[in-house]
This record gives sequence, structure tokens and C-alpha cells, in this order.
Amino acid sequence: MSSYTGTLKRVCYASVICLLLAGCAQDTSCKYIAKEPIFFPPAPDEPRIQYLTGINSSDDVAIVKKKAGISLFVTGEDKANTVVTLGKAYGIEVHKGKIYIAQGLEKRISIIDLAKGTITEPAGVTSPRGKLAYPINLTLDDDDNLYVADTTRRDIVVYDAKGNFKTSFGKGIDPKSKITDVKFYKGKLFALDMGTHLVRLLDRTTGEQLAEFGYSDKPAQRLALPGNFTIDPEGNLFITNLGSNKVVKLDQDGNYLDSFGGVGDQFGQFSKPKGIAVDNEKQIYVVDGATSVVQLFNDKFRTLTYFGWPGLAFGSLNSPTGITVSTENIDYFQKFAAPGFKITSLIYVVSQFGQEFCIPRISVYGFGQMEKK
Amino acid sequence: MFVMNRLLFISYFTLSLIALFHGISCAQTCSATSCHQAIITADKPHAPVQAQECLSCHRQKKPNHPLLGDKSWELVAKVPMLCDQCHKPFGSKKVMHSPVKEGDCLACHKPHGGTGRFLLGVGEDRTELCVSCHNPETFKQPFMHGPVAVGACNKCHEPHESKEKALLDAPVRVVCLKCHSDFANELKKAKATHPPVKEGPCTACHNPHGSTVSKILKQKIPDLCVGCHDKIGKKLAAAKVPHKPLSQAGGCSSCHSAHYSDNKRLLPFDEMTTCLSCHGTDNLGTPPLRNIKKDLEEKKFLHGPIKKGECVPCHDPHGSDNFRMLRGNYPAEIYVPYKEGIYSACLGCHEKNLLRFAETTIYTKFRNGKRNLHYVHVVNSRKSRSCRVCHQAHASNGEKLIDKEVMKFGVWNIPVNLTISSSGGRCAPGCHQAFTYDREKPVLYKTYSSSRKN
Repeated sequence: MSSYTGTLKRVCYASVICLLLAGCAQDTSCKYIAKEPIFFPPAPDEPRIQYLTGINSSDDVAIVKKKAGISLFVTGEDKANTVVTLGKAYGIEVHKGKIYIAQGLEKRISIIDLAKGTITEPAGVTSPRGKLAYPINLTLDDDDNLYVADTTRRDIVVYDAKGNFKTSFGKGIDPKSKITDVKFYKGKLFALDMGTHLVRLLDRTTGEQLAEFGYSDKPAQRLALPGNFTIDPEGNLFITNLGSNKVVKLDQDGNYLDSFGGVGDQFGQFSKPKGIAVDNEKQIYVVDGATSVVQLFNDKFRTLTYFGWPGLAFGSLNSPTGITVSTENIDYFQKFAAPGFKITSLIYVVSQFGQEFCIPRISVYGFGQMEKK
Repeated sequence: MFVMNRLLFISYFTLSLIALFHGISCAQTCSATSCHQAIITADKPHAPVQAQECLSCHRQKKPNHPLLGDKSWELVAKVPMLCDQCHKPFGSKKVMHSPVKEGDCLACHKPHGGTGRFLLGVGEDRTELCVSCHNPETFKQPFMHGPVAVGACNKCHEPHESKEKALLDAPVRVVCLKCHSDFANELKKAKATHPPVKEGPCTACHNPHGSTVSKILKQKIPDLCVGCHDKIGKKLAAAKVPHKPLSQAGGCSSCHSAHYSDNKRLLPFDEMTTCLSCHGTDNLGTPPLRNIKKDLEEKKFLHGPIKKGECVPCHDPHGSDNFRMLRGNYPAEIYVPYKEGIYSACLGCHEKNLLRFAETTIYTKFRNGKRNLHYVHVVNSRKSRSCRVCHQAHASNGEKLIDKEVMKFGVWNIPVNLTISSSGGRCAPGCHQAFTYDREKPVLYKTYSSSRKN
């Protein structure tokens, strides 16, 4: 009896100690909101870009409500969801307020709905024909159809507005074809083919090729391992080339207009140019996957600033890839901005690695300026 | 002894009285004799002189008068203390006239009387008095300010002292506008005022006394204007194609009002009306320039800037290096070898890539399928057709500024005969056979080559 009592006591004591230790254990989850503002360029220059926050999982966007003193991550249906953590990602787009991100290894497209606080997937990815193999980049048209470039399937997978699989096309266009990016612009679907160094204009319904361009007699004007591209508000294509480390600007007929860049790690040079975006002020953002920075240029290709370099307390990137600039969701992210910093557009940049160092999959920056007094 | 002293006292007293009355008597007789008649008969005598109170200023120091080799009379005090006995002394204001500062009242005033007011030796025309010290050249200019011409220096200047520089009796603008009051009234109502006129002194541009330049300007126009408007000055000096009015009599004022206006850029009228006031006649220049007013009259289609009433988006009114003072290149000839930039006057506004690519679906609607027909006509290394071969520069009755007849080719006005359809058009000009073009269903021409070469 006494030994039983003694054992029971020992167990109780151990339990209490364990509970206490658990209570004293440090919270090791990452926080993506900086305590002090992280501006680019840094002081004393006037700040134009601020790191706002990061999104790595549904925890970072969930709407937290307190019920009976307990915090619950709730959805519109007011029940707790499984936490969705973003995987190794590449391309990113913002469409009608939602953030779409392609994750190759996870074979999925995640749709982040900030209004609802959820991360979901198109329903069609579970269908046999809609199953993705390695989605890399994506775009949406004006009917909310989703087009996903899949480099393992070697085609473009299309989901309708409800997320159901619709069609796929692009396979077999050319034996060497490898579609790495897609963009929709005013009724036209453009596909970037890294395998053949071309841009292909496809019929968005049938996938029939309508035109191709990108080759030139002049080596300086042709595409070379084009990996990513964007289309500016005037319809011009800006294409990053891993083969030449340059950004090439073409019109929609495929005529060469201009180019800039070159190999190097100085301003205006690139080591591994990846994602590219153009904002409403015609400023060009180019992601460099090797130096882990985003360089910002004006429409004359003059370097304005750069951001995201490694080693910052917050706001660093790690092997960044995709980028998109949007004026949607500003109201949502303005609360992360420093007092007086007015955001005019949001920059979303995808980092492939670095999560163990608390670098989120999606880093969100605000472009703007301090209000004039 | 007592009596002796009394006698001496009485003698001295008597002699003093005699000297006193002698002095008084003499004073009374200064004017009674013929010696000082000029003094007492001055046109405008000094008040003490008129009252025959010579002793106000003078005192006898020796009994005999006149005294050979010496003066028997002296002033009771030195000038200006003498004058201060009656007149309020100067020195309370910042700027003093030099003679006043030196106490030399007699530099200007006649102490006994003058021919003019204020004991001056001159009448209302004070030129002779003032140029006795001041540079007379100022008063001999071909163009004189009114008050200066009649010697009315006191209309602007205080003769003794003033708070203002140059002894003006008020700040420069106030001095000017108290006479030029009609100008002041108009200035208040004006919608646009030349900044120096709005805020600065008139002497920024005008010489207040006289000048060799009309309107008493400090310098001739445009030299005066480009002193501030230096960029325009450089342009004027360098322009290969100058605007003629700038080198003529009026200069800048041929187009601009120097003071105020109800129109932008101090033009006398709105921009178009100002330009057409010269370019709206049949006999401007040799050979005569086009009558642009006629060109625009009753035309259905106006070139964009002209619709807004503007000429300066295309033409630099101060001159340029280009044909017709255009702001960019535009060949004077109808055929020139093409090279990039020779139509920059047009492509400064119109699509910059218009002539860059032989095939396009973007930069022009004048195409047959993708074949850029502007490129076909214009980008020719030997015989580029200038825009004016087809297009009017200012206005037309046809769409795209293309009239039935556009270009004068020697004695022949070449017809263009353009008709436009929803997806293309047809041209039957005097240059070649009729061709139809269609953007959507390109027409196959027998002579068309798919090559991109000219």
C-alpha cells in the first residue's frame, strides 16, 4: 500500500513538472510581422517599399475569433479548419482579391482568400484529368478560368471559374516544348515556351496555336531560355531569360522593342532572373533567384532600388521565384504598414526556401510613400 | 572820482546807442540804397528779405560799411544752422540729398530770393539746376520720361531727404502708379500679369529718366526680355529657322503683352487668334506663307492640337532648327531617303513605332493583314514619301486629314481618293493604280512580296 501511494505520488509530481515545463517551453513558431518597420531603401533615403508581412500557412490569414475566452481559427462556417501550409512554390497571381500560388512539389494550386481567411484548392485538381504533376506558373482570364503551366505534364491545364477541370492543351506543340509561364491579356492567351525559346499565342478555348514569335536573326534580340514573363498595361511583353540574363521587351506581334540586363551582380544585372512584374506606373520588378533580391526599374530601365536581400530581421527572400504586383487588398494590408506610410500597390514575392529561417513562402511588401506633412 | 566814472559811463552808453541805431539805420538803408537792389527785387524773395529783416541773418561786425578789403557784416550763424533758425532741420530720414547732408543749402537755394518757388534760381523746369550736379546725358535721351522732359524732377524725387532709395517720395511702384493710375486700374482687373509687373518695380524694365529705346526701356527687345528668359534667348540666338516678328521692330511684343493680359502666356488674344492675326492673310512674307485661316475655314476634320486652339504643340513660336519652326524633324521635300527620326515632328505625338516594323497588328490601321502600309510608303531608303503626300497638316474635309486632293506636285494637285471601310479601305491616288487593303482578310496583290525588305 505504501509503495503504491509512493508511486502514485511520484507520478503526480512528474505530471505536474511536465505540465509546468510545457507551460514554460518557448513558442518556436515563426512570426512574420516585424516589430520595427523594414523600409527599402533604408534610411536616410526616403522609404518607398515596406515589408509588411508574410504568408506561410492558413494560420497567417485565418480570421481569429474568441469564443468563451478561447481563440479559434474560424471559417465562414465557424468551425476550425486543418492548417494548410504552403509548399515549395513558384508562380503567384492576384485575381479579384484572391491570391493564387503554384506549388510544384505539392502538385497543387492554393487559393488564398483573405476575406474569408482560408486557403483552398480548385476542386478539379482531384479529378483524373485535372491532376497536376508540377505546376509552375498560372494566370486567370476575364471569365475567371484558371490556366496552369505544368512542366511535368508539359501542357496547360484549365479550370473553370468554379475550380472544376475544364480542358488541357499545349502538349505536343513541339517535341522540345516546355511551357513555363502563361499570361492572359485582353482576350489573348500567351504561353512562354522555354524549351523552344518562343512565345506562343494560343486560342484560349481550343489551345490551337495562332502565332509564335521570339526568334530573331540578331542574337541580342532573341529569347534564350525564357522562364517567366509579364504583360504591361499597354500590352508589351517583358520576358526574363536565363540563357542571356536579360529582360527582353517584345510587342504582341513579337517585334523586338528593347532589352536590358546582362550577367552580373551589380545594379541592372542579373545572375538568375526569374519572375517579373510591371505595375501601373510602368515600373518593372525583376526577381533574381541567385542574389535573392528584387530589383526595381523605371520604364527607361533605370535602376530605382532593390529589396529583399538576405540577412534582414524581416523581409529577406530566399531563392525567390514568382512575383506579382496588385492594387487589390490594399485595405487588408495597410494595417501592417508603419504609421504615415501610404500603400499604393502591393508586391507579392515567392521564396522557394528559407522557411526554417522564418522566411515565409509569400512575402508581402507595400509600395508607397510617407504622407507629406 | 565819482563824477569821472559817471562821465565815462555816460559816454560809453551814448556811443553804444549810437552804434546800435547806426546799425539799425544801416539795415534800414540796405535796401534804401542802390547797393543791394538785386536782392530785394528778386522775383520770389526770401521772407526775411521781404520783411527787410536783414538782421535775422546778418550782423555788423565792424562799424564802417562798406569796408574796403574786408567784410563789415557777417552771418549770425553758419549754414545750415543759420537756416535751422527758421526751417526744420533735416536728418530724420535714411536717404539724404548730398548737399543737404553736407549742409550746403546754398548749393540749390538762393538765400535772398529766386526766380522760382522755394528760393530756387530756376522756374518749374529744374533741369538746369539738377544737371549742375547730375549727369546731363540722362536728360538728353531720344526717348524721355514726361516729367524729366519738362524738368519736373520733384514729381518723383524729394529734394532733401527720403525714406526711399534715390530720394523717391514713395516706393518705386507707388511713385509710378500715382500718375499711371489708368494702368494701375487695368492691372487690377487683368487675368494674367507679367510677374515683374505684378510684384517688382517698374524700373526692372524701364529707365525712369530716359533711354535710347522706345518706351524708355532699359534695353531693346528682345535683349531686355532674354535677360530673364535666358533659355528663350539661347534658342533665339541658335535657331536656324527664326520666327520673323522677333527680329522686327516689335520683337517679343509682336505677340506678347509686356504687362498684363486676359490670356495665357500674356498673349493679346487666345493662341489661335494671335497666330492667325498674321498667318491669316494672303500676303505674309515673300513668297507669301499659306493663309492658315483659309486652310481651317469650314473644314470638317481638324488636326488634334488645332481642335484645341493650339499651334505651339507642333510649332515653336520662338524658332527652331526645323522646317516651319516645327518641334521635330519634318522634311521640306516630298521625297527623301528614309532614316530613323526624320519624321520626329509627327511621331512625337503619333505612334512612335508606326514606321518601325514592316508587319504589325498594333501600330496602325493602315495595313493589309499584318503588312504595314505606312512602312511600305514611308520607309524607303531612296524615296521615302513624306507624310504630307497624303495628309494635310492642319485640317481637311476627309478622314485621317486626307482630302480628295492633298499634295501639289508641280502644277498638279494629286488626288488621293481614299475611302475607308470597317476593316480597311481603298486608295486610288494619282501615284499608282487603285489598291484595296483589309486588315482582317488581306488582299493579295500581284506585286506583293512577303519579304520584309523595302
